[in-house]
Amino acid sequence: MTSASSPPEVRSGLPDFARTDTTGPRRRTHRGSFLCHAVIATELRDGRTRISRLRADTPLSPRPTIASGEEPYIRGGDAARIRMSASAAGPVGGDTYLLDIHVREGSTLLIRDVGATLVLPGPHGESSRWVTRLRVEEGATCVWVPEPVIAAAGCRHHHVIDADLAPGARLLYREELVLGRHREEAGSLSAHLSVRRGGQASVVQQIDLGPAAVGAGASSVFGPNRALGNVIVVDPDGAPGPAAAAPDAASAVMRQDPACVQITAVGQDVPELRNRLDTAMGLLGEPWAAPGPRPWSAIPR
Amino acid sequence: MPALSSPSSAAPARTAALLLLGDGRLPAGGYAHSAGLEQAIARGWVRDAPSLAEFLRGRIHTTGLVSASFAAAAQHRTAAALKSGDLESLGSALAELDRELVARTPSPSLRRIARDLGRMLLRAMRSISPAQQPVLDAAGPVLQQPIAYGTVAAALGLEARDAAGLLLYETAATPAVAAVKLMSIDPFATHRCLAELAPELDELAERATAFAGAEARDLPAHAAPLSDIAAELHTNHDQRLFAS
Repeated sequence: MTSASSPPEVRSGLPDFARTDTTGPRRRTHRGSFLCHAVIATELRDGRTRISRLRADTPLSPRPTIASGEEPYIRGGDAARIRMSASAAGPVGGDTYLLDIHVREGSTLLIRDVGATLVLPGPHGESSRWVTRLRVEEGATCVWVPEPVIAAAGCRHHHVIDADLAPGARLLYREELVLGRHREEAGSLSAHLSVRRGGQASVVQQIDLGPAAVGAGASSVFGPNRALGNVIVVDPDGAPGPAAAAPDAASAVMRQDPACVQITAVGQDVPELRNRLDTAMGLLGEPWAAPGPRPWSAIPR
Repeated sequence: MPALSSPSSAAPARTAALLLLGDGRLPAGGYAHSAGLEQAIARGWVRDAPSLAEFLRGRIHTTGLVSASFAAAAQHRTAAALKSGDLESLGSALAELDRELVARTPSPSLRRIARDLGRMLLRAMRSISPAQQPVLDAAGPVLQQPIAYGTVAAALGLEARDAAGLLLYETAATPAVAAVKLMSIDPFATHRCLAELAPELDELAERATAFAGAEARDLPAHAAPLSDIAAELHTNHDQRLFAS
C-alpha cells in the first residue's frame, strides 16, 4: 500500500524493526500494512524560510498552513508552518511510518498536528512503528508541538524520535503519551527519544508503558498514571529556566546540560497532564512563559 | 575413573573479590541512600510489602538494567585496557560512557548523587586496593557510580556479568534495606521481596551483560519518570533521613 516512488534513503540508518522487505517491484510490508515515508524540508532563501520539500505519503500528510494564534517561540515571525494530518486511521498494528524532517541552515520550522494520533491494534497482532528522524542545522530552529499519542487497548507501538542537532540549532519538542482512550484499557507503548547536539548525547530515553512493560505500573516508574509528557528545549544561548524545580508532586523541570532542559510530568488524564506541563513551562521564563494560557493545543481548552 | 573436576580448575574464581565489592559494609556511601523510596513513602506511593515489591520490580527493570549495562560496558573497556596494557585510552572510553549515562539521567540530583557515589567508590578502592592504583588513576577521578563499579570490578579481576549482577542487586537492595528504617515493615518481608526478585535479577543481568561490548550510544535507556520527579522533590524536602 506504499507509493511506488518512495525515495531510496528510506532504507538506510533505520532501527532493525523499521526495515521491511524492499526487493519486490512494489514495496510494501506484508499483509497490506502501510509503509509510508513522508519528508518535510525547509531552507532559507533570500532571508526568508521556504519549504523546499513536502512529500506526503498516505497516511502521513503534512500540509502547509498560515500563522495562527500566538507564536511566542518563533523569533521574528519568519517560519514555515506545517500541520500533520492523517489520510487514514493509524498507525495500525503492522504499519511502519517514517517521517524525515530536515530544517536547513538558518530556517525555522513549526510543526503541529491537526488532531491526536490514535494507535490501534492490527488484524494480525503485529506491532506498529513510527520513526521520525529530525535534522536541525546550524542556526536553524525547529518547534514541534504534536497532539497526544494515544495507545488504544491491545496496540503495541514503537514511537521513535531521533533528533540530530547542530551545535547552534534550537529545538522545542513537546510530547504527550496517553494510555487508552477515555475509560479504555491501556495499550502498550514504547517511546524512544534521543536528542544529540553535534553528535553528543543530550537526552536519551526509552519509556515503556502499558501491559507489555514489566514493572511500568510501579510507583518507581509510572504508577497508576495514564498520561506522560516531556518537553525538551535546546537553546545554544543557554537553557532557559531554573537548574532544577518540582512545581508539584507530579512534574519536574530538569536541566540536562547548559543548553538543554527537560520537563517531565505525569497525570491521570490529558487535561491534568497539560496543566502540569503548562505550569512547568511557565517556569522557563520569556519567551516560553506568559500570563495567560498558551494555545498549545488544537483542541480548545 | 575421571578425577572430580574442581569448579576453580580453569581460572581461580574471584568469589572473595565479588563479595567484598557487593558487601553493604563496604565504606562507599551507599548506606546513606534510599534510591527514591523515602520520597515514595512520604507521598504515600509505597505503604506495605506488596507495594514495596512492585517499587523494586519497576526499579530493576528500568534504572537497574541501564546501570547494569553501563557497569558491564565499563568492565569490558577496563578489562580490555588492562589486557592490552594501554591505559592511555581508557579515560576517554569511560568518559564517553559517562556522557551517555548522564544523557539517560534527566534528574540533576540523581546525576549529582551518582557522581558523588562513584567518586567515593573510586577513593575507597584506591585505599583498599593500592595495587590497582594505576588503572583507577587512568579511569579518572570522577565517574558515575555504575561506571565506577564496572571499572573497579575489572581491576579486581571480575567479569562483566559480575559487575552487572552487582549493580542490579544494589539497585534493589539499597531501597529494600532503607524501607526498614522508613516505615513499619517486617525486615524479613523486605528480604522476601529481594529473594522473590532473584530470578528476574539474574535474567536482567544476562541482558545487561550482552551490552558489554556494544557502542555506548546503543546501551539501554529505560527511563523511570516518577523516580526522576521523586528525586527532585526529595532535594527540597525539609525532613529527610536519607540523602536520596
